[in-house]
Amino acid sequence: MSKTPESTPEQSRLRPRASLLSLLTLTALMALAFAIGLAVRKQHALKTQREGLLAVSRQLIVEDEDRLAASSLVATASDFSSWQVYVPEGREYEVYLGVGDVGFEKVPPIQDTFSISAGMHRITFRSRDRTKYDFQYDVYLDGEKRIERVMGKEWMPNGWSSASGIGWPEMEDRPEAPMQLAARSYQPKHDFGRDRYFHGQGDSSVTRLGYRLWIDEKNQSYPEASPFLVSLFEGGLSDGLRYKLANQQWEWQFFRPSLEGSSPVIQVSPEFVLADGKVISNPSQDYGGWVIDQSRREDAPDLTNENFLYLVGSKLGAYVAAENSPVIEMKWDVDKPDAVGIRLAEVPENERIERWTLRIQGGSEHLWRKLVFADTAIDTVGDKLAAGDMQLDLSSGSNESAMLWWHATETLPLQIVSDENEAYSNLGLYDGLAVMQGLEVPVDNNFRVTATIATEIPGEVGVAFPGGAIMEEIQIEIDGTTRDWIWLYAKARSGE
Amino acid sequence: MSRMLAACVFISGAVALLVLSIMNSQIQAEVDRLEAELGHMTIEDPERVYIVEVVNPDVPPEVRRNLKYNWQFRCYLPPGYDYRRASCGGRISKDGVYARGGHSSTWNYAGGQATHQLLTVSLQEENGQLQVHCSFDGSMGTSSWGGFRLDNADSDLVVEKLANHADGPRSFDVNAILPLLRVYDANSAEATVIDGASFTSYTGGYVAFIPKPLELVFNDLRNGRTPTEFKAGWLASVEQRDE
Repeated sequence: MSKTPESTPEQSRLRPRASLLSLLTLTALMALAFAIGLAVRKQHALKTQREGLLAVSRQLIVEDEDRLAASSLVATASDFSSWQVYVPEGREYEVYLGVGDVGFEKVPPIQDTFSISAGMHRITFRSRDRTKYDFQYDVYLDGEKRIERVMGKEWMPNGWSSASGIGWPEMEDRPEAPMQLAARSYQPKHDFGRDRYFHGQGDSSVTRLGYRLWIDEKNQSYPEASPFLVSLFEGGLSDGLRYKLANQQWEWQFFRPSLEGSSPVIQVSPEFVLADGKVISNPSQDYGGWVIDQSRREDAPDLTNENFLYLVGSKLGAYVAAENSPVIEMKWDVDKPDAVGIRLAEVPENERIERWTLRIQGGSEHLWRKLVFADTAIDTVGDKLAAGDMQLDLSSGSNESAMLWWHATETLPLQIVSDENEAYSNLGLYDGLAVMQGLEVPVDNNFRVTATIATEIPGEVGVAFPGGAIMEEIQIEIDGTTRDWIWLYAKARSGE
Repeated sequence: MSRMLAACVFISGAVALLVLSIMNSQIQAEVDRLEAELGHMTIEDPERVYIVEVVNPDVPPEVRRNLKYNWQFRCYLPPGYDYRRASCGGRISKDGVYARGGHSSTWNYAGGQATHQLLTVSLQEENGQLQVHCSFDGSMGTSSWGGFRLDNADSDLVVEKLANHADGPRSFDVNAILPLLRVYDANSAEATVIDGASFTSYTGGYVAFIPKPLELVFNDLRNGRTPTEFKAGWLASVEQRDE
């Protein structure tokens, strides 16, 4: 063996030193790292594949063993729904079926319940919700039928035209909400005769027939929902009249979703005459519209029998209360579900109002042709009324208050009237069920009621109104000092 | 010292590899179990449609006893696969997609991600009326297949599946009409003539996927007309094997 040439000490320090063992160790480490890399990559691919398969299989994954969990199984028939359900240990649970009046905040009467033990279960619900099946609802637990509830044909004799799901109501006193599996609210079908189709608008706040199926702790009861709606832009009764505020709009619009229409049943344009002669009306140079200002209310709302709402004029171009604006008070009473009360509020800002007028508009959209008050009945067409104003004397005997009712002569919904009569097709007729409007005022000198008759289509001079004259508008002129309530009504005609 | 460090690293790595291997085998076992339930499918070309039949659909017994028939398929749909899911019935041909009678369809838009979905088709008879339930991607539709009834058809019912369990999963070009399931009564044969062309039709129905570019072609074929520039590859069939 020949010797390698000797190197300097410096060269010796710089030359890499690697024994065979070191090389083998390095190779082994690199191989190990490569194997780990492959294993990590394979795991990622397997996890992706597993997640995709789990999503398809609808397998229930319990993330919190102390809480209820459910996963719906693949649907195989339209009247069956099945769920895999997990019930935690430690508390007693029941499955509840409620059938009857349901709403956004409303839990229907509990028809049946059964206990469900801790662990994994399968719940199947069969809803044969047609008149031919007598509205039968069955609930199975792990294959065994535990509830069979038959509501009968008379529960909904005409059936339903559409059904929508509804979420569980918010319950502030319950930190953990019940587990709702299924819920439905039915919009009833209306029969107006062969080849006549009525397309009603739905609203989840309206009470309708329906059901809820849910799991909750044993022996639970649920508070009755408030009949009132309270929000920043809306007030009134869920099933009655509602006021809906539109930003920068002067007119007040009242809706009645229970009559399945999307357009207002009453539209009011107010006008105020101040003591200095100034007139505040539409369009106003001082106010853009109205805002709801509940700070005017002195005490907390009852929300059981009555509710109030305060309207204040808004600044031009802003949703902010203007100073010195008229303040209107509105009132809803559960004993008067078809009505809303209106008056000037007892506030200093209203003291400068000498008189004010409510212009109830919408005659051409609602085809108002019949007026009934005291012992009088007027038909704008039958009585051949000419265009112009007509003062109405509503007083009758010794009654303290007087009623005026008005409505179209048609008994069918105007949606169907419009479909069947081309002359009405461009008038934008009201799209809900047949409605009649009314007015209740005290019988005294503080109120004067006038009806405006029109024989032409508004805005189209010389074009006769189809079908004859209508009552286009009703004005109620009110003394500015009175704080009596004026009640406006809108209710279904023909007992619906 | 350096040898000790190398030894520590090696041992740690070996332990990590062992743990990963154990985890991988557990996940693999879970995947194998799920695929045994949902059908085995290997996506070799992510730009194609894959269909595999699920042999034992997970249908609760209390539901199954109310169904006459039930079929289920797992479908892999590639990104961008926009299609119409159609359920057609009445009088149909045993090949192609001719149908005279009831017809309902739903559009599905895939988006940028590939998806796996279960297609479930059930036949339910209630008060003498046949209901065809078609469930896919969280939505359920019910149709009647043009009055097709099972009363006399049970013994002569022909069921054709584009992908069946015996033959395993199949893949298809995204530009092909896929008649996934065809059901008809073999005893109801009737001569049908359209535009001078004669063929045999039967009472029955089918469920098909129609990719958006072939919608007009499908409409022609459903009405018994063959478009002039029709290509055979635009219509998948049971006999045709994967390309």
